[in-house]
Amino acid sequence: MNPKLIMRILSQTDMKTKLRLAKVIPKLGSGDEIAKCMLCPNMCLYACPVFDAERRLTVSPSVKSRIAYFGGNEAIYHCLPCDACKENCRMEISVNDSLRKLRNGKYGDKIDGWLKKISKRTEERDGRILYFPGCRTFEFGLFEKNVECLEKLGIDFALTSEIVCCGMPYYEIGDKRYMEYFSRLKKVASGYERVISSCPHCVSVMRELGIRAEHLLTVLRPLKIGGTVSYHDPCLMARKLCLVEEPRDFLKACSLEIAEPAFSKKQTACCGYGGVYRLLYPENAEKIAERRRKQLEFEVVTACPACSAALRGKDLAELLLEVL
Amino acid sequence: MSRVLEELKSAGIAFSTDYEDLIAHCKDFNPLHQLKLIEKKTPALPEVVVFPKSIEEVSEVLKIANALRIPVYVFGGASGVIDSATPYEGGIALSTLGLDWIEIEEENRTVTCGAGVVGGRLEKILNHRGYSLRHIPQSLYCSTVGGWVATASSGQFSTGYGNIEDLIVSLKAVLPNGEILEERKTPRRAGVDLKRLFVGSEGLFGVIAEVTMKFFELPKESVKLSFEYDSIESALEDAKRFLSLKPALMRVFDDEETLRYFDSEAFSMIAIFEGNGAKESGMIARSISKGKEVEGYTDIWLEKRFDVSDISKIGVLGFVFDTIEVSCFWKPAAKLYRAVIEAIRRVEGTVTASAHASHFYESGLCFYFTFAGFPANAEGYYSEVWKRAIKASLENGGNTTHHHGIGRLRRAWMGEEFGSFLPLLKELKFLIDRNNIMNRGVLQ
Repeated sequence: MNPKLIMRILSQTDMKTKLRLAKVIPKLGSGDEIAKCMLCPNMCLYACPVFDAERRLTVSPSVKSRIAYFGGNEAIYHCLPCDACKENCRMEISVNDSLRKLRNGKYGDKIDGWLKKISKRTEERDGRILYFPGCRTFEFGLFEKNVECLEKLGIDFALTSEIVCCGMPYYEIGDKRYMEYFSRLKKVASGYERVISSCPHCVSVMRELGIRAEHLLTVLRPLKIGGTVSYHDPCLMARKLCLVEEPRDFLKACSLEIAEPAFSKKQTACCGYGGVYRLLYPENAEKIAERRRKQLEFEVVTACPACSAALRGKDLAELLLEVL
Repeated sequence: MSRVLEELKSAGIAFSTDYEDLIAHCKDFNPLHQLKLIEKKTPALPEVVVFPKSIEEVSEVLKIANALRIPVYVFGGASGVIDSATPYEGGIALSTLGLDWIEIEEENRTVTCGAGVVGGRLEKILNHRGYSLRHIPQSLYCSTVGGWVATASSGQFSTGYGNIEDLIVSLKAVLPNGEILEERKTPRRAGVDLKRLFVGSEGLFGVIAEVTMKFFELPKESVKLSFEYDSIESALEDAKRFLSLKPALMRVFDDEETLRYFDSEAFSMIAIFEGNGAKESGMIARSISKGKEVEGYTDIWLEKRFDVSDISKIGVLGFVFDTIEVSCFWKPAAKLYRAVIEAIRRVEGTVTASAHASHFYESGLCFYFTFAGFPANAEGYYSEVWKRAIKASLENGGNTTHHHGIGRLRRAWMGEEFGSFLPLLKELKFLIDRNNIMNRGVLQ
């Protein structure tokens, strides 16, 4: 705060209040994020995809914090890792990050069952750079396409069957099994120069673990395609990896015109398939996806396996594969 | 209540008695409620929350509530500050958020929205097409269209484009007995404008379900000016001079707010002229201003205008923070400003009291006072500040509210505000809501 303003305020304040202030001023700026978010009038409400689809105050960002503060244990799972709240918050509070700490893994078995269902052993392949597809690349049938694209572009990459999932689904719901996944991922990644992944969430998790990780985009080569597409910014791609102009430059280099929707770039709107929300609340996730699809006028191109499935669009490698 | 639940179920209307849904509908954004939350207390709790998805469903809910004489509290984004929607008598919290359709008619420059549409989303969608509602309250991102109408809201660009009542083309409302009101949409008509009964009605006469509003083309040209002054009088005189140039936005800040925003101890004014002729208007404004032109204040304010994080930062420490907006004619404005500031500062516990003037009319303006206190007794302090501030406003030619509304917070002064119209309001309420189910205790 401006020192001149503090002096002015103190000069106008009565002595009793000044004495009370002396005790509290050192605490200014402190206070946990849940409480601070709870006291906000919900300034990110308009951007929250979960609220937008469910149309309940209960699952709006500030009210979820209120419910968490009161010890509630259901609305705190109604969240996506999209960080639309943080993007619109002057205190830079990520509601999902705050709520994650309070989740106790109550949906762990659901995640477990799903992961077992989609897990697939891949061929082993040597190389300096590891391609880590991530669980949703398998789930949405993009693994083979990505591999084919990388091969046709002549990119040298390694594959391993040791890890299928980075552990994010367990991490998101507060199931301690995520620790096992994280440490395995770190161990495997340490054998390579760097890791590339088609999933922005995987890249984000790996970076938080100190792994040198990049999005697949960084190794792809543009090819002439032509036409007009709607580019959907995956939330974590834009907000955590800060890859906003790079995919656009790539598409332009493919001779594609880009039609921007109302919510784009860092103000993108989530597709609903992020994190584990779709696994816990499939109907609501579909509502979010449907709302986002309506905002996208042309054929959808994106850079995330979950987004491309939700929006019935094409992932970058899929797009290239059509002309390779 | 079990009967209500049975009827809601057989009508196929979504509802919840889950504790988390009840907590979500326990209050509006009145500062005393915030302090209760910190203590993990709920100011009130409804018995059931209903989530109608259409106007017909709203009608069904009200028919059920009316037949069983169950109180109904209407919830949009719950960002109101006047203790209006708080369900003190339990009953039904009716969420309008399921009424979320947006239909843009570009040719007519109108948009029809469900009452539960959040303002920020609507504005963003309009902006994408090159338009703007130009109704930009600070609560834009968390308030709803229905809430704007129910509180008679005002936005940052009201000086140029008008308040919500100037933007409404038509609306649909549901009366407490479930009857749906709808009129022929038209740009204007003679005769009694009955839809205006719902502007500022705060849920008293039923549920505002759909609103048709006009919108504007996003201005291609704009000029931003800022000036400093040595007194509130000279700043206000400039504001009055500028009105003939039709600014889109004007704000006069007192010395404390100027210090907070712009790190200067003068009084200040920012002005935005936009659209065709903005450059010419800006040039004339510069030539007729008696202030000292300064650089960049408007941009600084535009950047900070939605930042309400201080509420959270000091709120968690137990500070009491609130705003009081009143309107007055030009003549008593400066005197009123000083009297209200002085009245707030005299209450023990006050840490800061400041003001800006933010909405201007040919005949007068709105003063928006901000205060924060760190008292030993929050409720006593809060009540004392409000009493003294409103008394000072009324004694110095001001009124009790400009755009936040009355709710329960200001009902003690309704007689002063409405005069001999007040009995008429009570009679209308009785006529329209015979069983007194709608927002009991508000505006009454």
